[in-house]
Amino acid sequence: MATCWGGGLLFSFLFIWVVCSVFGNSITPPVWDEDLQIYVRKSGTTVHWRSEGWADIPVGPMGLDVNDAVLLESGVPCFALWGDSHVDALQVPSDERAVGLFNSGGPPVKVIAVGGGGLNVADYYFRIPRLQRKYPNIVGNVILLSGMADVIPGKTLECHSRFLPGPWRFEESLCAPTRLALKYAPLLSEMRLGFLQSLYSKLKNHDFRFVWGPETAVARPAVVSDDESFSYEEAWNYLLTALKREGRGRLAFIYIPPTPQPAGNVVRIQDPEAPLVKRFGVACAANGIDFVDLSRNFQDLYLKQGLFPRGFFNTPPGKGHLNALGHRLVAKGLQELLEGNR
Amino acid sequence: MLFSSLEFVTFFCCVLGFLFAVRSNPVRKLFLLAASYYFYAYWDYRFLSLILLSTATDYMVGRALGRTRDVVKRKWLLAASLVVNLGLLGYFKYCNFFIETAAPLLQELGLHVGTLNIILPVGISFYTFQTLSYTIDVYRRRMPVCENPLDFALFVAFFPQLVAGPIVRATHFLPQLRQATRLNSEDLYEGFRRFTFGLAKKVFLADRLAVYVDFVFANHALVDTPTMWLGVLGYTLQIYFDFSGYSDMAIGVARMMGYDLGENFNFPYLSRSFSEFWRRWHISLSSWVRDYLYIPLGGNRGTRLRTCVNLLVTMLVMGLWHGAAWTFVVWGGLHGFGLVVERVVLGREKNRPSRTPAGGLLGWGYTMFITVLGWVFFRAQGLAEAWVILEKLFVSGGGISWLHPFVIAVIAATVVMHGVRATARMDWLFEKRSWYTPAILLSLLWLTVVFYPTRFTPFIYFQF
Repeated sequence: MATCWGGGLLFSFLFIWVVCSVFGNSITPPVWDEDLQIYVRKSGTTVHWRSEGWADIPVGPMGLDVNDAVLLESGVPCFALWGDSHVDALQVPSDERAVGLFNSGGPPVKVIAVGGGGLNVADYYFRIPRLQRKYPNIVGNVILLSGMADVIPGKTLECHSRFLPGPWRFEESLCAPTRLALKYAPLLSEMRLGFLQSLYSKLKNHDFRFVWGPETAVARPAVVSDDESFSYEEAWNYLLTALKREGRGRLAFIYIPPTPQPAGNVVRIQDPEAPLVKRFGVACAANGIDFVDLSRNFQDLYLKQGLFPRGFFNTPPGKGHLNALGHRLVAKGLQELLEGNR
Repeated sequence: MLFSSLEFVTFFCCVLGFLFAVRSNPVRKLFLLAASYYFYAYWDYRFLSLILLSTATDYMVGRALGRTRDVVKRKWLLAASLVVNLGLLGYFKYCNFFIETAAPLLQELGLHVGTLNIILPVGISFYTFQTLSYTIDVYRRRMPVCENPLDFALFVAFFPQLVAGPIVRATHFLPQLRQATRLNSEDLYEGFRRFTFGLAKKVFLADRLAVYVDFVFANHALVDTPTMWLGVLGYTLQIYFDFSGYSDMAIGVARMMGYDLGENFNFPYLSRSFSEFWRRWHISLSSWVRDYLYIPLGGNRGTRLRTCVNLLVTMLVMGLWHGAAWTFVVWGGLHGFGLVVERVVLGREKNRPSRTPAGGLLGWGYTMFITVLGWVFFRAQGLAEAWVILEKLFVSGGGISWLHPFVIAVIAATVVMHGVRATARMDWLFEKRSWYTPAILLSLLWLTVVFYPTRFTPFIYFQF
């Protein structure tokens, strides 16, 4: 019987290894990038993304999609599209990302994507000059906003830089990967054993509770609170001036709304942050910065075609990250924005 | 504390460790009782008082029944137990339902009554039926009185079956408590096997199906017909994997400790008739309802009409047991209707001619069709929602389309597995002691832990 269990253990490990190689997200080892002063995905690896959408993204220098990295290093003039995980876009194949679609049209000035989960304006403030210092061919920067919390001061996110009030300032913050991650991630990545890492972090982050109930829940703070002592316009003037000063060339913003989204038998069309978006657009205009609000395009996709810009075959429609249709809309937004440069 | 949580695994390892170290049966039972109360209090210690009240009532009623032969006194004692147990169940589970139902009538009379803020204590429907079965059996003199309060308290609160069954009969469980069971490798192996199968059904299948099903039912007015069908079929499997998975875990946990809880499921979706379905689905409840409701009502001993009425009443009560809402009553009524149609068309089950393959297929199709439609009422938040869903299913309409490959794959795999079992009678996956069983069990464990859902998904039957 012991032999059966030993053999069973070996078989089951091979089984889960095969299953996770096909259906599981991969991990990529983090490496330090001297130019950007951050940890990035190791060049030469591939991100296999399965939990939302289905894509295999080859990683180039500085953790960028290899297509973007090649473009950047070729010296052709290009814009950098900055953003969070919507720009990182691990969920869709390279050629279906907004920048891939935009570049496939053969524009004279290309666009490369520089994204990462949870990035906000404070991160861009520090990273834009560093990237432009290394690559003089970056002629401008476009920032994709997927929520207004990214441009509101005082909204801190762990392991990310902060835009803070009183006095207005930016603070750089970064979380280094653990020594364990730095040591073993390359091996786990190489051998497609990412599931062991995910198992380890699930166990490590599990909040054990053994005390008698009932369990009490802690309410989350609101994204936008009304009791802030500063005016948004003042904050944005500081932010936009600072970003203009730190970056070279043109600066622009593209906003994508969380809607349309099915929400219990109704499709929520109206973006709850729309008034704030409008005010931010006015602030951009006052500072001579282009601002494209894609809310109407997103709404029209559902209202005219019944389609959603978010959601994949394996996740609920209208929720989560941008799908290929959403990226197509962002690509159109880029065309609209950069038309003058074509 | 969910069986599929890390807290439970830790808790259960401690319990097993104690049972392994201590040989004295009374000490082990005392420890198991304390562990069971902790298990329940982990959810909400305030409702432990209800279990204690129910336990004390039925223990004392049982002892009093054992001491008297006076028929009238015995009836009063039984009535006292019924009033306490069904009173608690009625208040906590059905009070608001009756208020809401009666509200229009009361308003006509000029009375305005609001619903009460009542939390449904988890497992109340299960342990109430369990204690009632003891009192009724003692009243009917079908079992001896339990004199040991520790044994009786443990019978009521035994943690593997406390919150969602199986509903264990006192005649089956109390004798096991009197015997000093020792942990042994056979029980540990078989218990672990059952637990692992249950865990995989719940975590890998039911919880992942739930993501899709929740979306479809929450947005039933928006989705298109194929998506609605996939959602309903997905729920058909979700509730089966969820509840039979829970039962497997409960049976497995008890077995590891050396106790047998009986069976609760036996491939119900292979049933070729409704009577067969109820011998395969939630067996402990259906047999309880048969013995303590259907047969006392007269069962099939009267005229055909009387039998049909008994069947309908039994199934309506069965529906209402599941939840205090008209949707559950309709669900029970549908099953009652299915049973009545069978009885009227085919007669009594033992007199029916042996089935041909075509007849079996026809019976299976009829049973499954009504069963699947029944789940619409079971899952819907109200009758109006259920009608919209049924309309969506049968009147082709456009809308949001989302056909999740995982759901399709699970449905296809389940159909194939059931087909193989029904035709070839192959049991290779569930083989108890073959050389490859450890490989299957460990593979299922890997699947469960690696694809463990990030969101909290309690067992569906916890709400009953």
